[in-house]
Amino acid sequence: MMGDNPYKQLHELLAAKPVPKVDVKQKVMAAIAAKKIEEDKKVKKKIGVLLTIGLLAGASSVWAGMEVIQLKNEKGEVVMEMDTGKGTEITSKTEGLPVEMQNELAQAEADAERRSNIINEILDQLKPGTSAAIYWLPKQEKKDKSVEEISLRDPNVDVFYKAITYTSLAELEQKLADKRFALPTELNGAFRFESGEIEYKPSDKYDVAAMKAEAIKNKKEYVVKEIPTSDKFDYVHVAYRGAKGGITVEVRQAELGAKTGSNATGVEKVMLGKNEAALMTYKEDNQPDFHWIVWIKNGSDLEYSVRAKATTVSKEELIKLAKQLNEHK
Amino acid sequence: MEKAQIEYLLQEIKAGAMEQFEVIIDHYQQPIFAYCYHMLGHRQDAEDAVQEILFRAYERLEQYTYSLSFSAWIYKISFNHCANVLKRRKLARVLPFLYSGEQQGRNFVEEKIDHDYLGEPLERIWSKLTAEERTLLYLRVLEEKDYEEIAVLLDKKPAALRKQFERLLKKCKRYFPAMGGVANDGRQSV
Repeated sequence: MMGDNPYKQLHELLAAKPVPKVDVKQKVMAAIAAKKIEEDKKVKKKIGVLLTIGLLAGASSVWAGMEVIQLKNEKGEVVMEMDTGKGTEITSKTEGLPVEMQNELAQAEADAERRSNIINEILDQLKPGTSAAIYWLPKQEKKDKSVEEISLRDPNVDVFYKAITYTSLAELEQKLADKRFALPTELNGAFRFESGEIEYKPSDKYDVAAMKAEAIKNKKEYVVKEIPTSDKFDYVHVAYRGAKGGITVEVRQAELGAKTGSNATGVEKVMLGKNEAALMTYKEDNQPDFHWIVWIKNGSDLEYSVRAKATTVSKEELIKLAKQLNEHK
Repeated sequence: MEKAQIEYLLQEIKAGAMEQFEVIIDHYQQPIFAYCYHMLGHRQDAEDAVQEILFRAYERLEQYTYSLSFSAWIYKISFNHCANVLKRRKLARVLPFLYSGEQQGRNFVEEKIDHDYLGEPLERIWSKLTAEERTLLYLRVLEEKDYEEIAVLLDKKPAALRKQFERLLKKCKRYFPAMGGVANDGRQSV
């Protein structure tokens, strides 16, 4: 009777109910992996925005101090040029500029940061496998149209695609229409495929005039529209996981001979067999070093990159992994 | 798994060894599921809950400090999550227009304790208890945790919990048919 020993009786009641077995490990780990990729991309996007602003500011004062690393293919043709950023002081880039311009740049940076946050929120709400266009209503129409004239797309429109995360390499490869390359399931026996995403070139299937009209009519800072996704391959982003952490591999459609910038602490040229590559090292206080190797695969127009914390793999080990990736068929 | 072993794993995960979290999941998923299952009384809700809780635990790992045992910390996340789910169910009953058609077509208004799993006598008691009372009862009676540990996750004093538990037993007795409480014919109570 409960009155005699309610504690015991409750215990019997609760214990008598069988609890089913559950296994959510795969689902939770897949969610964690997807989140990490998303964050990785957000950080990259932010760095991109800040770097653009930094380069704009730097152009007038310290551009001359840059060193350039050239990567050549087996025929001796330059396939990539990278400005190393050596000799520049990020914090002093705006020094020497007129106060008005410094204020303008500070405002541009704040606007970019705010937009970046809005974009991230929109991306969070997008369903995987779908694209959206964002039209930003300009505060004032630009008098100088030169940038717009040479640009193929509207400067007030940003296009985004939210990739599908695949946790099986076979599934990812099946979806990959581009068959010019393949990725290994394991790297050096120590890192196994964890998840991957395929990114496509931004779609141009949007109506700028309609979005602009809507933004003006509703007095909105921006207008978002879901649009069809482009079928043009941009890059594939893959995470591998090992005992000490993860590494990220990307393979993208390269623009041969293109100039690129880097905000790495140091950049050096390394060899992956007969393939030239740029190894960037990022150093930050109280953080492990971070290495990032980029190269154009000889005889192709594909840009490969692999990156990881130095606590996950040493610089030398990362070079070996890059070599294995480069030789994988 | 020993506490020291768990702390060591957590250090590794914080340092970037994400795959070690699989060991944590292996260790905690069943007890957390059992807790959620008893709290929510619904198998699918409990499975969704344990996924969400373990995912959130990973996300917030930087916030975990050693002043709390990891077990207490993860139960605290579980309690908050289940309390929110129960609150939403309650709101759905009061404001059905806000919730109808939500959650992939599920209707929380029609949601009830899962009779198939919890059964009639227990459901009769359970449906009268708050999230905090369910937690106290489950952890104290079934998990046999001491008041000090439960106090940490419910942010209460052990002595206050002890009194609350005594009142809770009386409340349960009132709704237990075998005792002839109000749940039986409404005439008698404790």
